[in-house]
Amino acid sequence: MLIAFLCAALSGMGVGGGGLLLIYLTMFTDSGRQRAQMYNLLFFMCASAASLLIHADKRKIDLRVTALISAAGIPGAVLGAALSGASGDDAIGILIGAFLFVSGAASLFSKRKQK
Amino acid sequence: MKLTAKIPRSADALYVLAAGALAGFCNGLVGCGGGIVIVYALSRLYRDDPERTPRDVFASAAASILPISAVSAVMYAAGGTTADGFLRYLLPAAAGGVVGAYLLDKIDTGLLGRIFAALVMWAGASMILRRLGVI
Repeated sequence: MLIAFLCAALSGMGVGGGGLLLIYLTMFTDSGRQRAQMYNLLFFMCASAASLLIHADKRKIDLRVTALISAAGIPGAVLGAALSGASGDDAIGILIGAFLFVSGAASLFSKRKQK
Repeated sequence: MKLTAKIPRSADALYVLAAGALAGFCNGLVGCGGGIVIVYALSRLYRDDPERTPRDVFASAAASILPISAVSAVMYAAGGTTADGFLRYLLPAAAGGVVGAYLLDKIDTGLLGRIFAALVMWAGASMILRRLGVI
């Protein structure tokens, strides 16, 4: 529960991204790969929806861009999920690892715009 | 609440659509990663816009990823994956999301972000090595 809270808090801050719980579930529990991915999706939805209660009041949300991303992202998600279901655990596990490594490196070495 | 709907130039719109498709694909395929794709894409889109802060980028990304994650989860459920036991994560997820969004204005997330980026890199490398049977 504490780990879940910390993961959600870091997601709400935009620090850790949505993969933190997935790392925990796949490395430290015996959740199956697909279930861990589904938990992570549901978890991130809850954390994002809750954080939007604060963000919507304080920050500028670009509705047009949000709509465009969602419109293109939904068919992408359908395709990705279909491929995930048809793929082996090892292949997807290596893909997840590669994705985490690259996204971590991108965050670590990116130059952040201040404020 | 500050909601804006500035019309992007067509090149920007195509860029945003491509980023959305990639984010959706990643989220569906591996159950994570869509958010960071969107944050990266929007950071580049708004890099010359002095009115957009990284916090605005993150808020737009959080709003964008919600429907994508919902569709991904529905697809997983349609494929037979169950979410038994998820309820225990619901409260910490919601409480943590609110606390994190609140703290975003209060603390400097720069160092914290780099520590966790290094952690994510380590976790990714470990997962690959484990799957390959090296460790």
